Amino acid sequence: MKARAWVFVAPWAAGLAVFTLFPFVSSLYYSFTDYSVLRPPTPAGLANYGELAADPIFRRALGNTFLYAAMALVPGILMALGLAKLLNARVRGTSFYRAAIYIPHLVPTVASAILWMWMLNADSGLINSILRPLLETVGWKPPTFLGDERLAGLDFGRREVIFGALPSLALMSLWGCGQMAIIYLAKFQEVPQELYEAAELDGAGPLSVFLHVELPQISPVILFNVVMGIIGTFQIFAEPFILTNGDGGPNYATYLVPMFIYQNAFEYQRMGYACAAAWLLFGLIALLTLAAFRIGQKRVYYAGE
Amino acid sequence: MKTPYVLVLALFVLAAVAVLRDRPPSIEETVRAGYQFHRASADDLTDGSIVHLTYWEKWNNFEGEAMQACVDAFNEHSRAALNSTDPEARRRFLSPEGRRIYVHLLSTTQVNQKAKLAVSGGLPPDVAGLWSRDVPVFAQYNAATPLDEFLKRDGPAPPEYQPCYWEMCVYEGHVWALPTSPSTVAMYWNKDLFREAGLDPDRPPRTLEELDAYNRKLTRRDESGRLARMGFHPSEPGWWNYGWGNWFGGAHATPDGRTLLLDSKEWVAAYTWLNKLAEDYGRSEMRTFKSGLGTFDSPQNAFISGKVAIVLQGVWMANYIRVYKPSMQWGVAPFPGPGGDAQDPVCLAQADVLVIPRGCKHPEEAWRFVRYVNSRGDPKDPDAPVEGMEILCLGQGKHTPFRGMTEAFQRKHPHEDLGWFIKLGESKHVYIEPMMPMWEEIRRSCAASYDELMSKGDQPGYGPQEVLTRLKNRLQPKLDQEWERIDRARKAGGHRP
Repeated sequence: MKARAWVFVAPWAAGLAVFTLFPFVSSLYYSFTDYSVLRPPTPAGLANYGELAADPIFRRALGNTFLYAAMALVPGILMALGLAKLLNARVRGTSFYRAAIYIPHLVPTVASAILWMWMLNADSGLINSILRPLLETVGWKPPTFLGDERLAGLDFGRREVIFGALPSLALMSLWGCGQMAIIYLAKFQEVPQELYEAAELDGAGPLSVFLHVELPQISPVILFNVVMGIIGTFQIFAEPFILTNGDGGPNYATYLVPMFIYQNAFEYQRMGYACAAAWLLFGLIALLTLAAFRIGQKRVYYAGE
Repeated sequence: MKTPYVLVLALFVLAAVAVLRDRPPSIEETVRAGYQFHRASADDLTDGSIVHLTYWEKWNNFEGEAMQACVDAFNEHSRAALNSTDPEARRRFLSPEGRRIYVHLLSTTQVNQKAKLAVSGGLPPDVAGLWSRDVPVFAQYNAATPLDEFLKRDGPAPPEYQPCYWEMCVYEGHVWALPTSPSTVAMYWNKDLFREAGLDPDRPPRTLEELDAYNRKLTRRDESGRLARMGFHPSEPGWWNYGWGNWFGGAHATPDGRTLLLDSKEWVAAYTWLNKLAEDYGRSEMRTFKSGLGTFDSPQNAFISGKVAIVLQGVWMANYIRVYKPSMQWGVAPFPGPGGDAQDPVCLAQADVLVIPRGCKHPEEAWRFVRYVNSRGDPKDPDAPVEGMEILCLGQGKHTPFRGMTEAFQRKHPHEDLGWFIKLGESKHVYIEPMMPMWEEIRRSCAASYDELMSKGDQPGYGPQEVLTRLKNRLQPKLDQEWERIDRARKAGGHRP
């Protein structure tokens, strides 16, 4: 019986071993070698890691990745939470709103990237078509979005609103937060009715109910979304690659670690160096995930504990 | 009740038919030379004696069609050679064992990266269509087959080519590739907009000062002060932003590729000129204007739609003007970079190339095909048919990398100013991309430094000299390391050929 079970598991296990485990382990080995893909690897010790520490472009990519993660993850979670709360309301057409909020998540990455390219077009894009008339009445210039390497703010000297390429990328990521919202919504609906009734009897207002009843109840899902968000945002590749034609521009403003890995591995013949960067990224994601779990242990409420 | 719906539907269908009927001719229809060769059916190809070649190429659309026409011609020649008694035809188009050769063209995106990985995996295509900038990488890392022996045996000889295109195929004294379609970059100007601005439509700017003056006259702002049209915008199309120093006579590196020259006075002059442009027209305004320009292959193309009056472009631009705005009046002249003069203008040249990846199954047969693409009819023979390279370049609307062309090619070619692009390739001041394995990283870094200058050039620490010095100081140690790795591999015997 056990042997037959192994037969059924074997295709999956073989696939896992060949396409996941083997590349995973071999990439660790390659990270300690000088490997161009086209020549056999030669041992290089910690040279790749040392070079990464001193590489200003890697440091820029790493800084950008952290910034992007912060700008995409926190607003993403808040927005999804807000949407879920709204979707949980008993109003007419709930099913329609739920579908409408989830549908953007189903749009292919390339299509949504191109759509956003048009929305963020500084000259004739939808966003600036609204902003420009408003800002020009007070003598200010609208942001140039994907063409601007700065972050965000106001330039009083040039009377210009700054919203640069990296924040634009983060703004784009909010487009797909419907999936997160649906997960929150499912959890909102699991909150026991008696808790609401007890809170009402105690005279709790809507804010108190949200903070002291709903938030603790849905906290396991928040932790789940935070962990998935950390993993996802640190690995984002397709959107900046499409929007910047593979350059991470302007002037490395949207150059993130996954793009650094890709370019070094496949364009610069430095697979060993790219593997070292990939392992550093993996370590960072693992550390942040661990930190999220540690924080979660104290703050997440699991029923029955 | 149903009648209105039926009417609306009928109107919609009628409108769709009208739109489709009035659509402009496609580029394929306009440019393609119309060669229809025998395309073998599946039945023809089941014969086990045929040698099947796999050929990966980057092109699609009409450029892919042009190459397919060339492939069809070769396949047809090989079929005919099988029953021929002409020893020359058999030698050129059949395998060494006298078998028919059939080339399968596969359009492949990111073909250079995929070909590299395929070589590494031991299953490369027989022929790969790359860019000239890939030649040093494929040569240095043992990913291509050297062609020296083939060339010695069968030709063609270097003097048949314009020297710049031949140079792109040679790395450290060996030939690793042969060119397919070449490109030189020139200045296109819109005569209608010149006329409107009160400029002589037949006199393009001849110096950089004139270009600046023309730019001022041609540039228009709307009532809110926004740029509505520019005479010249250096980021349109922005494909060669890594090479502005070349137009001022500067080079990226020393000829041995070991020392970068990015902070030379020519580069500083180029960046000073660019910085002045950004200063004059406004950094934010230029960014906004650029972001509103349409994509290259569309009627919204900045030059075709009249948003930019002067652009740097390759020979192919005429193909797109012909399709999207055939009524437009335009001219071509060398870009007035101070790195050249009236006799020998400055110019950038690039080429697409064919390589035979190392480890492919049929290198001898692949060479037969590469050799055919690098052939043409005798230019001295007025009745010579269009063959090989000329089929490809006619279909793509380009000139060829060869010196001279057949009468049939000249007669059929749709480009009115082809001569300029050929002449530019012959110039003393023609620049080709440096033949160094780290070029891709240097190229991208130079383009990023251009962005940095145009965005922050007015801030302390971001002037032309500072941006360039920082760029060089960052890249030179990387280049030194790259050469160390290469020299180490050479010493360990892992170097070809």
